[in-house]
Amino acid sequence: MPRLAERSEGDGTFPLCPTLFGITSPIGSSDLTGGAGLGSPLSGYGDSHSERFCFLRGAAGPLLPQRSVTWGTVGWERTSLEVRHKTGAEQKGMELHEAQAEMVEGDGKGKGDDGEKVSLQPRALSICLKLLGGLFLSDYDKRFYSKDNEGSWFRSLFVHKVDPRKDAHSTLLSKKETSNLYKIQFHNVKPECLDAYNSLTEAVLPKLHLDEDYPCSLVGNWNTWYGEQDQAVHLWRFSGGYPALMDCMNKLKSNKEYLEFRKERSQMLLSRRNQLLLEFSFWNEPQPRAGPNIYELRTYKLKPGTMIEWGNNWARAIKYRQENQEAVGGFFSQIGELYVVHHLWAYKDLQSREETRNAAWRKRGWDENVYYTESSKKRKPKVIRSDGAPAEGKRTRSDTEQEGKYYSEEAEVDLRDPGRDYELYKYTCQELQRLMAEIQDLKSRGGKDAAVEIEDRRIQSCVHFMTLKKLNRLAHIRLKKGRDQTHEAKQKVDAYHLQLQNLLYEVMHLQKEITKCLEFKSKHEEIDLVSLEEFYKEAPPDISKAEVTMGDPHQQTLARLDWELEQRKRLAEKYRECLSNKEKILKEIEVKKEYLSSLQPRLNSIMQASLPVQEYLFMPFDQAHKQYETARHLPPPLYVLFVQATAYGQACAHRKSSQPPRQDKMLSVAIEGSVDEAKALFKPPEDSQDDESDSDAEEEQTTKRRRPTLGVQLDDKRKEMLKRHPLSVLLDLKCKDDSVLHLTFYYLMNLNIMTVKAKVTTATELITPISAGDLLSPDSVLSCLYPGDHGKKTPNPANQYQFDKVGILTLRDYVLDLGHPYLWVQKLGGLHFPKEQPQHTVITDHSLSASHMETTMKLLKTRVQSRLALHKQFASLEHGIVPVTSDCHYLFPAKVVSRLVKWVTIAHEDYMELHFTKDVVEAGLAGDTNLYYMALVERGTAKLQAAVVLNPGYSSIPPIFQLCLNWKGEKTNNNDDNIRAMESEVNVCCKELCGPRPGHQLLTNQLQRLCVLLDVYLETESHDDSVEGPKEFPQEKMCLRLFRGPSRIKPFKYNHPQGFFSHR
Amino acid sequence: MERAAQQAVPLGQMEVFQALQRLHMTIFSQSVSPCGKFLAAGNNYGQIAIFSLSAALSSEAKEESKKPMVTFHAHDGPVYSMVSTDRHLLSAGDGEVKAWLWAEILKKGCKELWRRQPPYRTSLEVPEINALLLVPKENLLILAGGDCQLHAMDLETGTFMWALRGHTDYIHCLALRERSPEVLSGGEDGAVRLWDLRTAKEVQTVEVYKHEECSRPHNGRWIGCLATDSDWMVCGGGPALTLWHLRSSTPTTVFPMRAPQKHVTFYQDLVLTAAGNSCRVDVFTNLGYRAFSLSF
Repeated sequence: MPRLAERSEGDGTFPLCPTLFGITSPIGSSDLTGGAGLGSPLSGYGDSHSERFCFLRGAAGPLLPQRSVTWGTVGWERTSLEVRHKTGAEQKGMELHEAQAEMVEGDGKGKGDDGEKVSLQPRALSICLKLLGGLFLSDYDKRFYSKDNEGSWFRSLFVHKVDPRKDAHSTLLSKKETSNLYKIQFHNVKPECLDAYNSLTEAVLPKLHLDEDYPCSLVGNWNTWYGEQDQAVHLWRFSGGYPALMDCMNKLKSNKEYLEFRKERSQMLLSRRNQLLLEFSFWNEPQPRAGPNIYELRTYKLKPGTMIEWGNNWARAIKYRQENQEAVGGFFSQIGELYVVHHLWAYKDLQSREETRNAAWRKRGWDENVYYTESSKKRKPKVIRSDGAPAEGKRTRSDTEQEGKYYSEEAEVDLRDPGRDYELYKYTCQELQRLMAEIQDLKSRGGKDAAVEIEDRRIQSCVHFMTLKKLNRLAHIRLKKGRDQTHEAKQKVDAYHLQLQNLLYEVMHLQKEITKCLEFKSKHEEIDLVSLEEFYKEAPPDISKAEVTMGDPHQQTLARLDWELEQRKRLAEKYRECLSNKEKILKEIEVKKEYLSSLQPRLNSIMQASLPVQEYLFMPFDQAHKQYETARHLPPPLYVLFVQATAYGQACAHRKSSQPPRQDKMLSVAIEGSVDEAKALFKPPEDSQDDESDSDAEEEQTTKRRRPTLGVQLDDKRKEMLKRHPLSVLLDLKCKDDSVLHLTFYYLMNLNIMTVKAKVTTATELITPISAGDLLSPDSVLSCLYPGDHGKKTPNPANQYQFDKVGILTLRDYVLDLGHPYLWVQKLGGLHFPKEQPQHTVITDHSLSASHMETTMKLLKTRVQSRLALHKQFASLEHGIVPVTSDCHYLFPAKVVSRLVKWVTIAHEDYMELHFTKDVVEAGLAGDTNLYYMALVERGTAKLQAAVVLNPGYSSIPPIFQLCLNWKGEKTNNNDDNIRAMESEVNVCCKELCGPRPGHQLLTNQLQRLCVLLDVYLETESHDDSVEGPKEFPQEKMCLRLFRGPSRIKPFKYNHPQGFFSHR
Repeated sequence: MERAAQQAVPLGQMEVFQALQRLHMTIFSQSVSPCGKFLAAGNNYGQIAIFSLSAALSSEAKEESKKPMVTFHAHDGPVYSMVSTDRHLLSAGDGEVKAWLWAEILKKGCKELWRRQPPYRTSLEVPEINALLLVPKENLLILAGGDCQLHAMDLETGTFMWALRGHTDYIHCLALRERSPEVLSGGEDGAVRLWDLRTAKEVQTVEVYKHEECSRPHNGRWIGCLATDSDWMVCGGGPALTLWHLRSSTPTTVFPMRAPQKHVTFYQDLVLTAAGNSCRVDVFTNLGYRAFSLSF
C-alpha cells in the first residue's frame, strides 16, 4: 500500500473523474497507522486511538470571500494512506523515520513536510471530500507557528513532557469557548438520489448561509470521494457559540421552507449523523480559499483524557505544515461522539498532497511530534521495511540516542542490509585507522597546519566513532530481533499446538457425544407392550393407523406406546372406580354393623322377657343357651361329644313327637366341672407344658444328685400327664325300664385321649346276687362294647412314648381313677387314631363322632339292658331256679327232670385249668375280659358240669358252654360224641334259644336246654344187657330214633308242638 | 368308616359263631378226585370243602394252601358219605344223593348236577344215607342208611332199580367183595349181611354180637366199620374189632381194641384200623398181633 501511494506520487496527474481508486482504512491495525515506537515515554496514548483521514475535495475555484459560496464539482478525490520512511537529516544527525499518512492538496502549493502528530486511537479515518459549497478559506492565516523550534536536539532528546493542565480540556484547547461553534453533519444519501440531494441542498442551504437573521454560516458542503460513499458532509459555523446555535435552531423550526426542505430531503436519506465541534486554538479558522482543491478530513478517535496531550503536540507540529497553506481547520468534538478530532486539509490535488506531506517529513520536529501522538504500538518490521529510503550515506548516525531514536533505529534495522552494514563497519574501521595514522603522522610531524588538520581528523574520526556506535547498536538490535522472532515463531507454534489440542479435544468430545447418541436407549424399550397382533386387533384405528404404522417401525412403536398409554389410563380410571366402590361398600358395612350392634341389647331384653314363657312351655332354650356358653370352654373332643350327643338327644326326642318330648328324653347331656378352671387353663396353656419340659431336662441332669426325690418327681409328673380337663360331659342314657346309665366323659389333656366312667342306676332296688358282682361294676359294664375294646389300653399310640418318659407301663393301672379310654369314646369325641403309626394325626372330627353316635348309643342301651337282665337271671340261678320266661316255654318239653343245682362265678384262671375247656381256650374264645361261671346240673347219679364263658357282648355274643358228664365214667367231648353234640346243641344252635328280642333270656334258655339234653342223653343211653336191674333213667321222652348217623348221635332236637325229639 | 362301625357288632358275633362252629365240627366223609389232585371233605353242617392236595403237599405249601379252595353248602344235614366216579362227585347225607361235576367244582361253580332221593316209606323223618358204594362193573350206586334198606341206583338212568331189605336197624356201612358181585352191609342191629347183587338176595348174615369173643354189651351191638378181602372180613363197632372168615362165618381174630372203632381197611395182608376216639392208627397182622401203631 505504501508503494501504491509512492507510485501515485510519481504519477503526476490524476484523471479528473470522481473515481475511487484506492482506500485504506487502518482500523484496528497499528501496522498501517504507523508511528508507534517501542518503549515510548508517552506510550499512554497508545492503542485505543484511531485515526481518520478524510480527503475533501474542494469546491470549485476560490470561495466567495464574504458569504459567497462557489459550488464546484471540479476535482477528484483520492484516498491513500502512506507509510513511508522519511529521513530527516538534521543538524544533530538525527534521522526520524515515521510512517505517515499524507494529504496531497490539489492546489499544488508545494510540499509542506508536515509532521503530523498522531496521538490517536488505532482507528483513523481519512476521507477525501468533494467540496460542494460553503464558506471557504481565501486567505491563509499565518499566525501559526511558522518558525521551527530550532532548540537543541538535546531538548528533543530529553524533554518531551507535556505539562498537565488543570482547566477543562475544551477551554484549554479551543480558541474561545463562545466564539465559534461548528456543527458537522454526515448525511448518508440513497445512491440514486445523490444528484437530487445535491441540487436540493444547493438550492436551500446557501439561503440560510446568506440570511442575516441566521447567525450561522455554511463552511462547506462536500461529497465524499474516498471513504464512505454516497455521503454528504456539511460543516456549519455558529458565530457566537451555543446561543447562536439555539437561536438558529429556533428560527429554523419556524422556517417553512426549511421544513419542506427537510421533508423532501428525508426521503433521500438513509441515515444522518452530526457532531458539535470546537476548533483547536492553535489551528486556523477555516477561511474561504481559492480552489479547486481537494479536501482531506482526517478523523481521530482519541483515548479519553489524551486530548490535551494531543493538542499540545499538534500545537507544536502544526507549524511544519504551513508551507502550502494546506491546513484548513482542526476541530474536536464537543457534543456527539466524544474524543474525536477532525483535521481538515486542503490540497490542490492528490499529487501536491503527496509532495506536501513528504516535505513535512523532511522537517525536523514533525516526525517527533507525530511519534508522540502515535500509540505505543509495535510496528511490524515488514510494514516498515521499504526500499524507498534515501541514500544511507547521507545519514548521520549519532551514538547518543534518545529512546525515540532508538526505536527508530529498531525500525531502521529492518531496512538496512546487514551485509552493507558490515562493509560500512569495515570501511569505517579502516577510515578510523587511517585517520588515526594520519593524526599520528601529523602529530609526529608537527607543524602549524597540523593542529587544524588534526582537529579536522578528530572530527572525522568522531563521526566514524558515531558510526561504529550506531553499527554496534544495530547489531544488538538485530540480535534482539532475531530472538524476538524466534520467540514469536515459537509462540505461534505453541498457539497452533494449543489449537490442535483443542481441536483434538473437540473431536474426542464429539465422538463421545456420537457414541452417547448411538447408545441412547429409550425408556419405552423397558415397557412390556402388548403383542403386535393383539395391538392391531384391539387398538382403535385412530391409534393404530395401520396404513401408516405397518411399514414404519418407528411410527408403529409410537402408536403402540400411545395405545399402551391409553390402556393404562383406562386401567387407572377403573382402579379409581373400584377404589371408590370399595369405599362405598365399606361405608355400607359400617352402617350395617352399627345397626347390628344396636340390635344386641334389644335382643337381650327380649330374651330376658321370654324366660317365664320358656318355663311355662317347657322349652328351656335359655338353659340350653347357658350350657352352650359353657360348652365353649370344653376341649375340642368333649365339645364334639357334647354337640353330637345333644344333637342326637334332640333327634331322638323329635322322633317320638307324639309323646311329650321332655318326659322321657332318653338322652340328656350336661356339663360338669369348673368353667373358671377351664378358662384359667385356656389362658396360659403353654406355661405348664414348658415347665414340664424344663423340669424334664433339669431332672435328667440332676438325676444322680437328687435320687431321693426322684420318685416324688415322677409321681408328680405322672399326675401332670394324666391330668384331666376340669370340665367333663355328663351323659345320662335312660332305658325303657327307667334304669339310667350315667356316663361321665373326661378329656386327658396331655395324653389327648378321652375316658369314660359309667354308673348304672336302676329304678328299683336290686338284690345283688353274689355271682353278679361284676355285671354292673363300672369297671366292666362297658367292657367290649365293640369287640376287643376293653378299654384298658390307651388308644393313642403316641401315649406310649409319653408313658415311657415318666415310667408308666400301661394305662391299665390308672383306669379305675381316670375312667376307661374306650375306642368308641374317642370316636364319639371325634378323635381318630391310626392303628399302626406311632405318630398321631389327631383331628377332632364331627363326622366321625356323628357316625358313631347312634350305633354307640344303641349299643350302650342294649348293654345296660342285657346286663340288667343278666342281673335278674343270676339272682334266680343262684337259687337253682332256671327262670324260663313264659314266652320261652315252647322251646322245652314240659317235663324236665335234670335240675340246676349250682351257679357260681369262677375266676378266669380256674376256668383255664379245667381239663374239658381246652378246646375253647385253644380256639381263643376265653379272653380275660369275659366272665366265667360254673353250672352244675344233676339228675340222679349223673352230674353234668358246665363251664360257661360269658362274653361282655352278651347277648349278641352267646355264652359258651363246655360240658363234662360224670356218669359211668367221665365223659367229655373228647370221648363221647354225644357230649360234643350237646355242647354243639347249646353253643351253636343258640339262635333258637334267644327267645323274644332282644334275647336277653339266652343264658337261661341255654341252661334249660342243657337240662333237657341231659335228660335225653341219660334216657336214651342204651341199656347194658349185662347189668342187672332196671334202667336208672327210663325213657320218658318221645324219640323217633335213638341213634342216627355214623356217630350215633342221640335225638337232641325238641320239636315243639309235637313234643317229640328228633335228630338235627 | 360308617360302614365299618355298623359292621363292628355283627363281625364280632360272626367271629364267635365261626369259632364255635369249627369247635363243634365233625368231618364225616371224604373223597379223592379222579385225577388224584383234589380231596373233597364233608362235615356235619352239610358243607363240602375241596382241598388241593397237590398244593398242600408241594414244597412251597403255605398256610393258605392248606385251606379249602372251595367250600360250598351241599346238604341241609351232615354229609355222611361221598364217592367219586371218573367224572362226578356223589354226596349223600339227609336222605338225598347229589351229584356234582368235578370239573365244575374245580372251577368253583357249585351247582349240583342232579339229586335223587330213594323211595322212602316214612314221612315223619327223612332217613339219612350213611353209606354210598359204587359197583363199577354194573355201573351201580348202592345207598344205605336210615331206612334199613340198600337202594341200588343205575348211574346211567338215575333210576332206583331195587331195594334190599333185611336189616332191622339203620345201616352204618357197606363193603364190596370185588371178585364176586356181592355187597356187605353192617348196621345198627349188629348184623353184617352179605348180598348177592345178581340175584338181589341176601346170601349170608353174620350176627357179630352173638359171638362171645367179640361181644361188648356195654357198647351196644352196632357195627360201625366193615372191610372185606374176598374170604375175609373185618368189622367193628359196639363189638370188638374182629376178623371173620366169611365162608365159615367164624371170628378168627379179635383185635384188642377198647374203644369202638370207626374205620377199618385192608392193606395187602395187614389190617388197618382207625379208632374214633383215639389218636392212633393201629396196624395189625392177620393173626391179631399188633404190628405197630401210627400216631398223630
